[in-house]
Amino acid sequence: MIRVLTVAAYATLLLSVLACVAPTVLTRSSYQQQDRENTNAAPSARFPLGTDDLGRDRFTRLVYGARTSLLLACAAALLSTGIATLVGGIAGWIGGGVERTVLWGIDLFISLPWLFLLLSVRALLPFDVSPGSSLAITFLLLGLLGWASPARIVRARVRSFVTSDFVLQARACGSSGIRLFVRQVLPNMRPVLMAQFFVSLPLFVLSEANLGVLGLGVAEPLPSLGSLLRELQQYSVLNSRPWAVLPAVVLTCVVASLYTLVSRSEARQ
Amino acid sequence: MKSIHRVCTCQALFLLGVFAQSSGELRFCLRSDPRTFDPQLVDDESSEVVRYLTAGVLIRLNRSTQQLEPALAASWRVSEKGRQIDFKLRPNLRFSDGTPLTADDVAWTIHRILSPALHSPVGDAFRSGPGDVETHVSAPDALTVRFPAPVSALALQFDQMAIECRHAAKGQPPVAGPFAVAEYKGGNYVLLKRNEHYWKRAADGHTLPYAATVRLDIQQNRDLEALWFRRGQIHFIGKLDPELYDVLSRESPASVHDSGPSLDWLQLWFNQVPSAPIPAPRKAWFASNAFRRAISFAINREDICRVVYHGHAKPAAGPVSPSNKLWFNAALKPDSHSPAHALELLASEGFRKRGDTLFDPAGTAVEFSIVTNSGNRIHERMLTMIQQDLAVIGIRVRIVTLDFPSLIERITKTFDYDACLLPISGGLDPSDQMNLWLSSGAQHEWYPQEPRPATAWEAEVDGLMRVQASQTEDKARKVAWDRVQQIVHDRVPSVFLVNPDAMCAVSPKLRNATPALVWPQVFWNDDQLAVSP
Amino acid sequence: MLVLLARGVTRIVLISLVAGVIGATFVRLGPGFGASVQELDPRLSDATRAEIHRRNETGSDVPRYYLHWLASALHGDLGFSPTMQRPISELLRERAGITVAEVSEGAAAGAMLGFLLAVGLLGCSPAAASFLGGLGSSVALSVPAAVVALVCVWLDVNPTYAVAAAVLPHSFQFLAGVLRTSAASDHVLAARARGVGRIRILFLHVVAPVMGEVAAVSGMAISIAFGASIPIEAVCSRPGVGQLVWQAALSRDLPILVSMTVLIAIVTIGANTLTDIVVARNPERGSAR
Repeated sequence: MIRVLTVAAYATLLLSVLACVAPTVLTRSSYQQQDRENTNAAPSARFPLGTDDLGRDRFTRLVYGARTSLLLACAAALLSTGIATLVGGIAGWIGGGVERTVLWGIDLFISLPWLFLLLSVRALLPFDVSPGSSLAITFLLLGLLGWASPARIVRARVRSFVTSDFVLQARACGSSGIRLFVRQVLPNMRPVLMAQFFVSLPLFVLSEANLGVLGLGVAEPLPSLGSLLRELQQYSVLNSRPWAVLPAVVLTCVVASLYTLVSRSEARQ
Repeated sequence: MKSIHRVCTCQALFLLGVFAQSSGELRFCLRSDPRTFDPQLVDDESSEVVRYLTAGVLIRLNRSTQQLEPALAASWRVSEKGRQIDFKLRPNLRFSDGTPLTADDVAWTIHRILSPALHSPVGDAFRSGPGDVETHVSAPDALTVRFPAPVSALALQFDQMAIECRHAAKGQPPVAGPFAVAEYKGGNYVLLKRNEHYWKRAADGHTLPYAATVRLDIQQNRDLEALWFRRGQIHFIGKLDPELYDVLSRESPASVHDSGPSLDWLQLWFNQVPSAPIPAPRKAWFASNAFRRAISFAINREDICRVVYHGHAKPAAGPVSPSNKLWFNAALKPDSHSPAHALELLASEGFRKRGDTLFDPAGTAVEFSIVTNSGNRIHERMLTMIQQDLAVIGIRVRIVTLDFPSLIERITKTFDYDACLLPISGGLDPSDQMNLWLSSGAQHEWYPQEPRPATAWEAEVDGLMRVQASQTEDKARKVAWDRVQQIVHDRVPSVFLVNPDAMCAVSPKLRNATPALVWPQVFWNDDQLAVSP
Repeated sequence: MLVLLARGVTRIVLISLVAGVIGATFVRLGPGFGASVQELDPRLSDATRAEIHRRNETGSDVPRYYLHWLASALHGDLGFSPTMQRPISELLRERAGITVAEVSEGAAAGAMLGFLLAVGLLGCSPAAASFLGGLGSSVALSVPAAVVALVCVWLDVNPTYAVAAAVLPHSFQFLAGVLRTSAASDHVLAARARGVGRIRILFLHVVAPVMGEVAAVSGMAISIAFGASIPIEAVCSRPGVGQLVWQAALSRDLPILVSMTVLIAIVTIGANTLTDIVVARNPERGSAR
């Protein structure tokens, strides 16, 4: 059973990588080509997932949307997790006044209405920026703004390691400072960091969907998982075109597969 | 037996009377909290709904026949070409608290709405020129109102003016309309109750309104509104989306109504403000009549009507809907979809298509962005279709969606945009569009508040708009307004896209509902609506 | 303890005040401040349009506005909303109940469910626990909270479940990790070797030592629940504080946004401070893997 699940996880990730690297292998048509005579068509041989309300192939848009969102959300999640590790790690490791100051800074950061910063950045961007670049900038900002809550958790974990036996033993053996932190603490932080990464990945995809309401998401005709997920808020879509939930299924499968494979490798160690 | 029959008949009549008197609670949705309950400060739709239900007006526009009818005023007479109006009020009028309604209250209301300190949007319709308005109360039920200058469509403007009580006590002021506000729970609902002193009677003598109460639930989500309608929790939905119309028509065909093209239209205009921070080549393109005309021919309006509106829209030819039979210029036809003709027009200006790209005479690839408000699926789909249509003639379009405040800032203040797509709510009368077509108007979208008309045709339009505003005879006004429609159709300062249909859903439990084209589509005869148990 | 509390309160007050002024600056300098859709009405005169614009620009001098707001707030007056045309304290009084119920019930349900799931999966094999936990979390994280809320409304079920669904994966991930680490510790192994019963081991030797961190989840849960309540209330049109914040953001209503930034900061930092105090009183010693 475990083997089956592992194989399934690998297959899902392989398909995701293929979609990211060579979407034309999986698709036949363009994601923006409108077939206005076949709008909201049901799944068929020609359109495996049917068409959307402008007659565009849903399957192609799902592949390209997954490519866009997963690549950018992964990058943003890595960025936010990296910043959280740095900030939370320093605070937890040094402790004392530094830790208190950093915690204050984190709390202030969490409290600010960053939505207006995103709106301001969008306003500053020239309209000639391509939809892909505009979306990349949005995800970059999400990554730069999404580190604060994970940083608190990282800080708490690092703090608990400071007085742990293995760190004490390492200190007794002469290890100290950055070397001690990198060689002893950081590897033990992996489960927490991985958990934060997995939580951030779908969070950023969904944030892009919500920001789309304010014009901060992807611009047409470029699809994203977020823009495809926004369709689910319409009752008429869920009622008459239930296959529209597939973007949520794809996101779930990718995140679950990543989680399964990493957990397996953690368990083997 | 006869006596039993008599008793039963009496009981039935009694019940009918009781039923007619307290015909349940009318329920429908507001899309947001009302911003104000002061009828003279209304500037949003939700507040306007409450005003319509509670306001006693002198003259009421019958939304079905589009004719003016006496309301609180039994009769009126317009003279001096719209500068003076004499009213004769109905006898024994009262506000909802029983206070008599007299000409004194009418005069006080007029002075209030025209007070500069109040900044009443209602008053703006009456501000025809500098100077003060004069009112002369000759009897408790008669008054004369004289304006400093003629007011265009004077009688029609009184449809928006709610008569207020001059001596109202503090708290919720009394009203003269069919309903009065009884309760307001922010974010939840507004509850109105029947005005027991309402002046109107039904043809059979019963007091109106039929409904005992009106509950306006605040619901922004259209899908949830439709769900409530299907569950019978509300009695109608106005301004129905095409998608929801189709969903509801599949489930209950008799409940949906499509009254034909509404008075609204969607248009795309190009930024022609000379000081706009956009590249010079684009300014040159947008200033070219042939370029704008080419865009108009390149767009497939039929497809937009079919795909975006599911057939519930008509291609638009100009700023007047074909449903507005009195003012529509029937000689105008929407530009047909013809990429070939579009390319010919562009070629006449020196544009050349090489491969998939169109180049201007200077060799610059033609590309620009179109902004619209975010979160509106219809606008986004329409722009995506326009993007593909213009790609056929080699023009690359970027679609930019912005939240409303950012969008308004760009199109009214910074002018940092190329083109914009937005809907316009057209009124019945040409004077409702003065600010749109006068070159000095604030809503002169492509170049607001021009210091002087930038082109000869804009100067001609200015003259024609002033002519129609100063005339009282509809025939003379129509000649001028027809000419304005012809000019803007030919000169294309805005590309007129579609007139969406006026659609609504009405529960079979709601009696006497006859949906009209003009807002409010369903509850225009609010005092006649009754709810079956 | 008193020192911790004093520090906590100072932190809450200072950070909230700074957040308020920075937030106000963001709003003021952001695009669209002072613009409103009413300005597009073609029937309005220039004077009326200017008046609408003047009203919407309330607070354009941020420092002066903020000082005035602070002085009034100390007397319970949070200002007047130019878009809703009502006192903000009145708006909050009407809406707070709904959001407080939503957030507290959703956070409690999500945290409790996460705890129960984490405890339940302790009995499974590590691989099965990992897979089931991962799958469950992935589903909960990948479906937008607003969609879950809408489905709740369509099924006539309390949308608070959507808030719980948003909290669940975070609380589960955190607690599963904490409980798994605790279950692998030496004293638990020793207790098993001595033949102590499974239930006793679970509650006295696995859960009890990490109660501090279990309690700390509440702070995280409240923050997440509040964040989730905003799109849920906006999409489902529930008249709570989240909907008010969303509408104020869309219309650039500075008075509401300043008040809400400060209040949200107080709630969020308060929750985090409480968590820190609980953890400080129940320190956990980490162990190597």
